[in-house]
Amino acid sequence: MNQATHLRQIRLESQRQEEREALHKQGDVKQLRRLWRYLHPRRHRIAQAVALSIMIAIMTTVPMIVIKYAIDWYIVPGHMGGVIMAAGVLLAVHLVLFFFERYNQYLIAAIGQESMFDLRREIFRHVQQQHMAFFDRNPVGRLITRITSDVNVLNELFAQGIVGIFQQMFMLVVILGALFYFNWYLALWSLIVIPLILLASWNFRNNVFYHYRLSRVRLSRLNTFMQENVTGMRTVQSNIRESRQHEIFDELNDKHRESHIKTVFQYALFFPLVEITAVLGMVIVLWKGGMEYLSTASGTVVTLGQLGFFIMALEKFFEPIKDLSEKYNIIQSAIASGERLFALLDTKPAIVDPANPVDASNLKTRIEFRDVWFAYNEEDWVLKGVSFTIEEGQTVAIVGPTGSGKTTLMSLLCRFYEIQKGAILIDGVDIRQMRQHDLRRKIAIVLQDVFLFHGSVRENVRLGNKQITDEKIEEVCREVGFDEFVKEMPNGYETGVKERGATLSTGQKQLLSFARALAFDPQLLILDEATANIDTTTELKVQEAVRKLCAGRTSLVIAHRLSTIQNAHKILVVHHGHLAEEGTHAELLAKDGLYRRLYDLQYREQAAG
Amino acid sequence: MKTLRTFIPYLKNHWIAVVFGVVFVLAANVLAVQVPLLIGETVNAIEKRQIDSQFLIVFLVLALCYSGLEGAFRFLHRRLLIDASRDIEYEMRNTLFAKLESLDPSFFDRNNTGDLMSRATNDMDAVRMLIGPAIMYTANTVFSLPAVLFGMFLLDWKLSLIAMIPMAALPPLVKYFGSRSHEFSKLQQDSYGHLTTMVQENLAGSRVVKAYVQESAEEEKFTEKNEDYIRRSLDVARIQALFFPSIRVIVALSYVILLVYGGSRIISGELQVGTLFSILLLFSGLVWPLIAAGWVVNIIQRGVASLDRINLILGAEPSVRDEAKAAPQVNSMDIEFNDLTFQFPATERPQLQGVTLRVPAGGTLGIVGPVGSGKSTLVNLLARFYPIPRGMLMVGGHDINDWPLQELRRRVAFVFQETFLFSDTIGWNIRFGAEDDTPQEQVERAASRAQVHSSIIEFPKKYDTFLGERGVNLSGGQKQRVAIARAIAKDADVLVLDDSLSAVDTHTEEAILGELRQYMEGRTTFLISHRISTVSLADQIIVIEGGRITQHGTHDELIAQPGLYSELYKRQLSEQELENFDSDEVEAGRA
Repeated sequence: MNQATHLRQIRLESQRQEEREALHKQGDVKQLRRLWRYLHPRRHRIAQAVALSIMIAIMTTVPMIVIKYAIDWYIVPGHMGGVIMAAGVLLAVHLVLFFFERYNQYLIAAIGQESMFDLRREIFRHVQQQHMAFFDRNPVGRLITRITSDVNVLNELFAQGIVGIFQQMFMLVVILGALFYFNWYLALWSLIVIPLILLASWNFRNNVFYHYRLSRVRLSRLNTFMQENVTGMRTVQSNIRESRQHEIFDELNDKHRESHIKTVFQYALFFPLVEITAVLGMVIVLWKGGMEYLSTASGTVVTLGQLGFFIMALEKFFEPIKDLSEKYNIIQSAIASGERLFALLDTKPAIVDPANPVDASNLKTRIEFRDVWFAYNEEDWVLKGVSFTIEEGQTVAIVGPTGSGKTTLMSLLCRFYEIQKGAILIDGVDIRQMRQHDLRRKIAIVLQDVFLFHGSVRENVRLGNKQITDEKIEEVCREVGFDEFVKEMPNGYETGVKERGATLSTGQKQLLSFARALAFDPQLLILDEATANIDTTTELKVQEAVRKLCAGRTSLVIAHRLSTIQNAHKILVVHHGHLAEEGTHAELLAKDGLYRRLYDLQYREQAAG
Repeated sequence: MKTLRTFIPYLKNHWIAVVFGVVFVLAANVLAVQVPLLIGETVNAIEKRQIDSQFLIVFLVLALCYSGLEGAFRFLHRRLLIDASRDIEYEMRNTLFAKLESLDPSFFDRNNTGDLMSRATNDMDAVRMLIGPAIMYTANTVFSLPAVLFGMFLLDWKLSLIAMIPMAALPPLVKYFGSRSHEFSKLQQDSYGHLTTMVQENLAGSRVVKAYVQESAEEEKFTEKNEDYIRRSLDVARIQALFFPSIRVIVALSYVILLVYGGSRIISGELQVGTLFSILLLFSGLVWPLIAAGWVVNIIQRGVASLDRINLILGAEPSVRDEAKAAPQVNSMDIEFNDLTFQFPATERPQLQGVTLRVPAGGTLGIVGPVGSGKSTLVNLLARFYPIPRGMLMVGGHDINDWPLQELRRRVAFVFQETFLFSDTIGWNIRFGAEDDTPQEQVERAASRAQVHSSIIEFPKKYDTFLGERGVNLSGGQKQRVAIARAIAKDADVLVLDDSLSAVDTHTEEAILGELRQYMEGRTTFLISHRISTVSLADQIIVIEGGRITQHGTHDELIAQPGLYSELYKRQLSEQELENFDSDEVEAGRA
């Protein structure tokens, strides 16, 4: 077989497989029952909405009934006063209906939105409680979809689906009841068409749903392919692959069109079928009713008003059936969203606070790592039995080649991840015996990549801590030498840091994050110094700021600056997950080991410069 | 309306479907009027007892026939018009894709993928609505109004005229609600955007949030946005909750008129009950087309705006012109840069300046330099991704502008810095640049050379293994090696490796380079790397700093000179030493 054909066939087979999976995946309706938890607090208003829906269903049939009586009682006997009275009733019913419907629609929307507000908040809170490994595993985009659009799909189900379906079902019942009440004989005859319409709807629902799902799969495939080509356009063009890629795109595009056209066919068939069935119903009523009318004295068995009522009612009768068939799609996508959402809510946080936590607020900051073993992935050890102690008030520098485990050490001290073996102690207390929040309140961490939030300089220093006053913010910015830059910004401390024209340089971002750490005034400082080149004037400021930050508090610094390691009380040299060497700058230099080499490699130039 | 001109070629292809579709809409609407008329007459005949059972059946069968015929026309016009819109959508997507393929990288640098995709998806959908549903509903409204009104006026023009008065309020009402709810939806969408941005930021900064114990403060921020979103959503709901009930009241007013005035005319003998039935039925068929009229206006407004956005892509012109027709005669694939100065469009500073260099056919050039110095730009010029002034770059003895793009690109194989593989099989990806009839052995040989064959055959489906979401995820190093295999399988005269071994370990790198050395014989090779060990095997090496060649020579020459190259060399030597630092020594140091 030709290779190109072989490859094409493999691709097609994989596509068919994907489509089969999509079509056979049946959602579990039980998932939706869990929605009730969010609706439950609003059950009284839901009851109100259901009651209103029933009344609306009844009232929508009232005008037809009024017209029926107007014809039989007033128009045929020639009683104008009665006609006007009937018209008055008709108008009154519609006005009441106007207010009822308006109120009910808004009520349903409000209940839905409020319930979704709760659900959304719960998911957000749940995600906040997850540990770092969870964020490493789940791409940001996927989590955003859960919190925003999946919740919206569920809301649509509630707002347009459940209550609407209930109302329409009830309308069907009311109309049927009225038909039988007025004339059970005609009602029975007109019901002949019901199996017909049910068959058509059932067939429509199945087919449309099948092709709808198929078209979703195909559309997403088409878009993915286009996106890949846009992203990899250089690769396409440098391999003169344009025409062959276009062929594949054309094939996907054609399949996408095909599934839509099949859907169009179903709609084109179903809508006229419903209309024809309605006319068939009317024809049967007129035939049977007309025969009765002709064979008896007028008004004994069948009246003109009844004929009119049956004609109008049959037309109305088919509207809910049309609607119900279309609502099926909403239900299906809601089930899919619900499944994804509840699966997320069922993920238990991997790191939880102890039942009886030790009060950490009065603890000193003597730190001890006791034979700590850690791996991000099973058995793939990043730290292999690291032990050291840091005394209260010391500044300790960590050095080591890239990938030796320095950053991991710091993450573990904050308990972002759980260690597998050994223990980390603060003032003799295992950090696993503390509340995570209490532990982290003692620590301020400054990362290499400074993360800025949308908002002003002031908000980025303070974050959400309202106890930090404006004066304090300005004070810490002065202290780290950031205030000079702030003064030059268009709106000073109110300048947005992520907006156009006010982009901060790497050095300035560093200073801002120092100010942030200082404002929180932690007992313990963890600092990952930036390796990036900073212009000389800022560099001097940064060095000065680091000194101030570390002064008087226990500090753990991943050091890239000579000035920092020279000032440190102790240096820890990490290599391949081990603590290779430990001592002061002078001691380690004298030892002529790994530190000496690292120093030669990374710091000698700084020393020379 | 100038925007709509884009449609003309597409409509030309489908004019038969559109014309017949519209004619069938007309036919369906004319037939639609017949059924209510027949029913009314039947009721009149029954009331007057002027009919026998046979006549009754004939009447009713006729009504059924009309209805069936109307249904058939509705079926046909929906199929013709909506299918045509899907066909046009299909054709437009193909055109769009072809257009994108013809545009050069600077276009994709300017427009981000997300934006391009939103045009290709959301806007495309709005445009389709403009062709299909908009045409269908417009035609329906345009034809059903006169047909129904004609029917009603024929039956009783006085009654119909008066009953229609409230209905005049319907189209402006629909349009008003449409634009109001559009306004509020926009605010709602903005609020949704803020909510999404906030969540995105929170997740991206989760480390800071945790470290500074900001969970509750973040939740407060979230709640604020969440509340704002609800408020905006309820604003939209409030408008929508007013919409249908208002329509209902207007329609009800007409019914009241029909009942009172119609009733009085029946009592005075000017009208028959059956005729009133006909008018009532006809009237109910009028409500939907009038609502649709307002709705269509909104579809058209949205569709035109979207078409504008798509036209921005369709109207873009590639800046590289492919004007050369015949492939030039080439003896050897020498590459020569003559005082080349290159600047990206709309930038202030030239990216490359005064580059003069000759790489003979079969030669190897190593390129070293800091990030952003212009290394990648230099090699990217070999595919003529950007316009290059004449006389500055000669390929095989001819100005690069004299090469047809296809011919030029056929002769150059790239491994880009950012590896890009498609979600297809590994085999397909390796064959990407090769001819369709390339034998499987050649593909496997290329994979072996790139040191990835042994990993591939460990997968159960081997070369037929799918990559991406529905298949396996390769590691960064494996991806790079597949990309190298792809370049090797292309079997081109010129091979460009742009920092393409960064994700593989030194050991594998050495193995790949060993294999490549043999493959590179007789091919002109460009090697960009941060590792001196990689470029050291090149015949000549250049150092680029700030867009200029600052050093040029062989490895031995360059390490003897002071400069970036020797600095890098020394640094990497000691790094390597550190890497090989004996663990026993570490243990000893600990003790």
